[in-house]
Amino acid sequence: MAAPSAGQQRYFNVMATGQIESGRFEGNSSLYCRYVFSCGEDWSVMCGVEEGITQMASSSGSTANGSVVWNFPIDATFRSTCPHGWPQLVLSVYGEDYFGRPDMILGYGAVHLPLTPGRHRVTVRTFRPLASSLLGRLQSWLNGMRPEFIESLFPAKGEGREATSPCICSPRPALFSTTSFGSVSLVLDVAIQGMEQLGYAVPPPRAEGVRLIDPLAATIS
Amino acid sequence: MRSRLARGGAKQKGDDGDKKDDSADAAPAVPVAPVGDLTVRPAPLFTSGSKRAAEEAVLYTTAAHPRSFSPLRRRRTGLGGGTFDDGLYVAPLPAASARALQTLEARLAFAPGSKALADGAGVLLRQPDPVRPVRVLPSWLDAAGAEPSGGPFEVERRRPEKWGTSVAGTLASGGASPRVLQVSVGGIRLQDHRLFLREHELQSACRSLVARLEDAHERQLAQLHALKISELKEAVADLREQIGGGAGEGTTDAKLQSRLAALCTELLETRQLKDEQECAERLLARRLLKLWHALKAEREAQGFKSTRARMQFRLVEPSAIDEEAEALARELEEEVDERKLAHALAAQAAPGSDLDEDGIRAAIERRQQELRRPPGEGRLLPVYSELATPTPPEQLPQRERSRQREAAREVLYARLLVDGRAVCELGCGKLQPHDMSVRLEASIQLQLLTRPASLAVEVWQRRYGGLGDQLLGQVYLSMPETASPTMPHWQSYAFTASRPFQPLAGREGIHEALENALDGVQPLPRHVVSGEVEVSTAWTTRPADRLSEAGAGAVGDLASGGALAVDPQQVLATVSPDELDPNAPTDAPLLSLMARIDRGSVGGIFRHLRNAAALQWSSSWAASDRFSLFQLRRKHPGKWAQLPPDEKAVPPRDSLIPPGMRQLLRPAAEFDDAVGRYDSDRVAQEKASRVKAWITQVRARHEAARASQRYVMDTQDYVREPLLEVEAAEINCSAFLKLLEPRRKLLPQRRLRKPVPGSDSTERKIEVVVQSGFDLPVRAPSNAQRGRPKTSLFVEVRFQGQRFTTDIKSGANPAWNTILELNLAAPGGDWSQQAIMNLSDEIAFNLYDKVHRTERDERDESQLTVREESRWLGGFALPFSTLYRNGKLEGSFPLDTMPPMLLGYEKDSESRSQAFVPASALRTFLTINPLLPPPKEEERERLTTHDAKMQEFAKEWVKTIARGERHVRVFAPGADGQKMLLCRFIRPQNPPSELIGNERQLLRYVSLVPFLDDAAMEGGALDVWNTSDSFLDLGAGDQEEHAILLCNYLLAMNKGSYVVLGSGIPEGLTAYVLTIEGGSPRLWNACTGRTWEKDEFDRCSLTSVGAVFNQQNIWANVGPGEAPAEVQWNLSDEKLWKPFFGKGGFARPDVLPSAQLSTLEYHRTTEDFRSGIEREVYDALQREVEELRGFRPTDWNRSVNAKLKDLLKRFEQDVAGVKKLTAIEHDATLERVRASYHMVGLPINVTYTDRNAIIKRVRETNIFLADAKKIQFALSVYVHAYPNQVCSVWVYCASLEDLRAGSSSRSS
Repeated sequence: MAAPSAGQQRYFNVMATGQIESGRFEGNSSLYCRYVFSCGEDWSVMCGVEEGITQMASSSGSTANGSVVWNFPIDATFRSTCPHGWPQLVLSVYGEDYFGRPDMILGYGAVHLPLTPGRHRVTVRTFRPLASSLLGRLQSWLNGMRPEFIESLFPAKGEGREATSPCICSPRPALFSTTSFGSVSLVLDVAIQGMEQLGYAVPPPRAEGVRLIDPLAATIS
Repeated sequence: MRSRLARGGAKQKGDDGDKKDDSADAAPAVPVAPVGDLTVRPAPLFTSGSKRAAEEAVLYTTAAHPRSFSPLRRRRTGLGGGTFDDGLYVAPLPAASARALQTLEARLAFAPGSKALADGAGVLLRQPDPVRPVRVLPSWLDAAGAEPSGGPFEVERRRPEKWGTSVAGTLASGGASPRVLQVSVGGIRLQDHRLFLREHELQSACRSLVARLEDAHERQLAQLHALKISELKEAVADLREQIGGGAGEGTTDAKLQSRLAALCTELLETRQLKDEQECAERLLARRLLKLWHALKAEREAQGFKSTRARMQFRLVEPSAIDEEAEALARELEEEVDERKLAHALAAQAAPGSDLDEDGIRAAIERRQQELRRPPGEGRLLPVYSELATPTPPEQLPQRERSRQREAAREVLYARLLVDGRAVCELGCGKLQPHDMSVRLEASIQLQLLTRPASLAVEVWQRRYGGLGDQLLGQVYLSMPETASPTMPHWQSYAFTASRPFQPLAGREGIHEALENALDGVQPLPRHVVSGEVEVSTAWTTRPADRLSEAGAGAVGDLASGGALAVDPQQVLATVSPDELDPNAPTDAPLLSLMARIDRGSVGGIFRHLRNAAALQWSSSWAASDRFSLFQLRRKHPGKWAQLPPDEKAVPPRDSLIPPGMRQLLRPAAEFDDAVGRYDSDRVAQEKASRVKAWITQVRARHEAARASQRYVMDTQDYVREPLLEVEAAEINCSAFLKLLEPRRKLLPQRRLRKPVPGSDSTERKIEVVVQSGFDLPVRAPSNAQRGRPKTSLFVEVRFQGQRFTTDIKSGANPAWNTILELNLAAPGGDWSQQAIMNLSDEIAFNLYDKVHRTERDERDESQLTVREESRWLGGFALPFSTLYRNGKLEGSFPLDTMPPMLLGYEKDSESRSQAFVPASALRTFLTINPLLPPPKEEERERLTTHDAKMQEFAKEWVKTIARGERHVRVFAPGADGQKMLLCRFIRPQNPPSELIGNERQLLRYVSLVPFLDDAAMEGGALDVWNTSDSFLDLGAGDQEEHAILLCNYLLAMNKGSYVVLGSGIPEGLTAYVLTIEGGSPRLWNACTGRTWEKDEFDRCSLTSVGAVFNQQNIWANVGPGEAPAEVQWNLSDEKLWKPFFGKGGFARPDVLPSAQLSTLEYHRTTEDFRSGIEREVYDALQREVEELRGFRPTDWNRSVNAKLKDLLKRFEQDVAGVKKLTAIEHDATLERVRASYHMVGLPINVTYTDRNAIIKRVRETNIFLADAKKIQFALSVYVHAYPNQVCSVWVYCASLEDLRAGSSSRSS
């Protein structure tokens, strides 16, 4: 198949493969993770799975520093005409809470796919929403009903973070608040095809701009 | 804090104390998280002799000099006692709790890129962060020592030595070889500071003057000018000779002369310049002398020396006076000569004035006197040095001593910024109290893969031990051009702080002193910290390369312009080689650059983008089609939604835009009214597509409103808090009470039905009880029969394809009391509330009269033919959603679709109806069994940003007045996603010009605009209130739009009219129009075109009145009555009607801008269009009927058709209130027909949406199924056109039974 000439090319492709390796949520041992890709209007998924749920994994505690290993494969290929709306990986981790109640939301997180080709090790620190009132927080702790985002893609978006909830009983509206807890580590291999032909410069894999060396150390060694 | 794991703490001790680097070498390499793109390493100091000595003295002090360490110090610096005694140095570990260390260790092991082993054998080694400033000793401790320039004990910052993954490895894979930029900071010399004395200020003025003088001397400007003069003189002389020799040779002569003139002017200019330069230098020297005197006077006055400034003046003895005077006079003569020559040459070109020789001579003499050194005066050569010893501290007054101590505490440091990012701190030094300068003497090597856009150095002042550091100034460094010498080439950059300070007392008068000294040069009016920082930048090679053979090549590459900063082509574009002076030293670099361009050997390591030409630059960006597409996508998401799903991505180039998008870019084609030609498919399609487009557009706008945060968003919109959704369960005590009640078997207790959530497993039925009919039509006596014939009425109920009929009853007021059970099925088994709400099925009730005919063949008496036909008399339809919302419906429903005339039927004698047909109604009861859970308001009421305050108030207001099921609202969502106050929809609007003045005609017009239920819209309910112009344009809308349009028309006719919100049967929540004329209210239904006077209110289909509004206000019905008949229509009574604006309500805003246009535009419906519909409907119906009758022949009676058509026109006039149609007139028209035929038929009136709706209605009548001997049919279609292609379609269908032929037939 002949490749289209540079002037005719309409799309570039971004391929992301990798693994959701592990998560670390101190004090929680049985976790599973949901992932969704979120991308802009000009983007479409060519092949691969856009969303998935990992198995329920638990850690035995002593060996893995409390981290839970999923090793869940991710493989998706995106096509786009414009880098605006670069794909993001939205993660939500669920698990048991202190009282062993299942399916509690533990954290949400989102990360852009790396813009440079190559292998990237990414750690996503996660957060979850808090109930808007103190009473609500206490209740959610007691009843085991934690607040969740209505839209699972919320972490990938900027809007709504400033939202307030007008509470009639209090003069000041309660601000939208979250708490950060835990992290998920991923390995992502990214390959980009056809961006240079569209006029975008693609950095070479894992290039670093400015670097300082120690000439003295170098001469000695 | 940087942390790392090291195996065994002991390893990092230098074994022999040889070099401090060793300690780090022994430690395992630890990868470094890069800071942005930067990785930082320190470079050795350039001028490090003394400092390193001091450092080594500290670091490697053996037990031979233990006295310099106090126990306190030892603890502070964290030196372990034992190791110290061994003469070994161990880097101090910052304190951290064991628990913190453990957590840190665990997290590090988890962190990406960590190579640390998690086997627990390592010890966490913590080192100071190399990038962020870390204070080892607080500054007050330093100052307490008070030893000048770092005493025996000075704690230095230590940076981690060994780190970074292999640079070489990365570089080898990366391809591009890095360039090394060395940045050194020498020192900072302050020009003004808070702690400056007058003396310091004078010194800094001295310094700057000396610098200027030195610069002039260095450039040898005066000598250069002198050289140039002598050269030019020779050239001029040569030329003159040439001209003299070859006189009279036309063109060459002229050329030479012009050349001569140019040389002459240049010579004269150079003379002037030379004199000025000499004068400037002399002046500088004199000023310095003055300054020096001022400084000395200052020292005298204060009684001590606080600076090291020393100035010596060397007087260069002049040569003999007369010699000099002679030289001057010679120069004068020469210049006069040259002037004359110049004048002569100028006069040749343009003859004119005479030369005033004396005047010139005088002018030159004056200049010489002013600028030139008078003969005999010596030249003053100032020699400035800073070698004087200041007064020792013992002899200083207390105030000065404290000032010096304070100054010595000031610590300044520089910070290097690459591309705006802080790379590292470059040196850090204390202020020298005498020089008021800081020696930083630090250097750094940056390894760069790309050329940095900017290099800058920031000068910071350390305050509060590093807690409140203050930025003094920032200087941007020039990037060195080609390979520069590795030795520092110092350049001074001046910086000034932005914040002024209060100078020390006694400095006030300094301005005058300085002004005196500097001959009126104005110093700054306010004091800010300023100074100069010395920086040197140079490209170097990597140290490894320098050693290796290959390194030579790299250096050569650099030297040939590898790191060239300027784009040579750009230089060429701006500078032309002709403008450059090959002799001027300042132009030399430019010239060499040009030469290199010519050689074509320009190579850049910073590559151009390969496809740079193919990119669209910002200037052309706004004009590109892609840009318009992006804008369109943002502003008109509805249009974008119409694109096919795989074509929604904006292509990367204009040339690749698909035709679909190009279509969008074109200006929207207006709906072609001018053509007005009728084309059934086109009209139907266009209408459907327009409505569809509008719905998608509104949906998209609402989405956009959400996205653009026009809504006031709550956390509830984003976060689901399960607890907020849990409703408190009611505790029902009545169950207990019931147990205690005495049992009465004969008094059964009513049990409430419990709603059961919908699912396919529970069988669900709609129970319909057809109870009775009121005022139903009765058969008219026909000529053939004697006596009054009895009707055989039955009701047919249809739902979801099911069909049930009641028994047959007769009479005008029959009672059926039949229970019918209709199965309710949810499509696709989807029992969600949304799906049920969207169920568009209707429960249709139709009233039929069953007619039996028996025909006896006259020839064969034994043969009897019995024909049975059901004649449709009227009916109504209930949308299922109404039933679902209410749970049960009970009441008498008027037969809406009953035609205005039923041939062969008449009113009962007791009927109160004024029309041809009785005002029939059916009393029915409907419910769903088992009950469905009542619909919950899923969509929380949102506030939009516009009028948000009012909306919030309205929400509360509605809550406070909520009573029962009354429908009250204050805001309604508009088409653009914003919520709008209802009053803003009301505004007098002009009716079509042909309908002005006739309210019935207006009502007729409005009611004819096709109805489109919000709930029936594609893709779920969409509650949007449309404006009248858009409503008329779309030709579709629901109750609100109809009512608002009618209300606006009535207002334009100066009728006091209101819109009533409430609920009615069968439409559910609805809007009516209310007019109050002379105290008598009247209700108008703008959808059906019916009106009710006050005394008819009990029969009104509006059952509950919630609120009334007009353009001024909204009144909520808070009175006891709910039905229109019970409501007191006196809006000013606040006990019954609570106004929104007014007492206890919201403060009325000054302006309520209307959402409606002030004038509506209409276009006439063309006759072509009208007749087109008429023809088409007629043809379609005829075909349909013939098909329906199948094998039976259909005999059309054309002559009756024409008569019926006339009647239809009269019907339209009657309904529109133009001219009343009386029964007599109607009968008279048909009298002749009826004389020979038994005529059964009815007119049907619908508004034109599409022909299928009309066909369906005609089929329902069953007229064309009639059969008799020689039966004939009549069908007539009349279309009346109203503006905006609103058409009223009348169809008269009738069956004609020949009375003569059917003499033997008898109906029963």
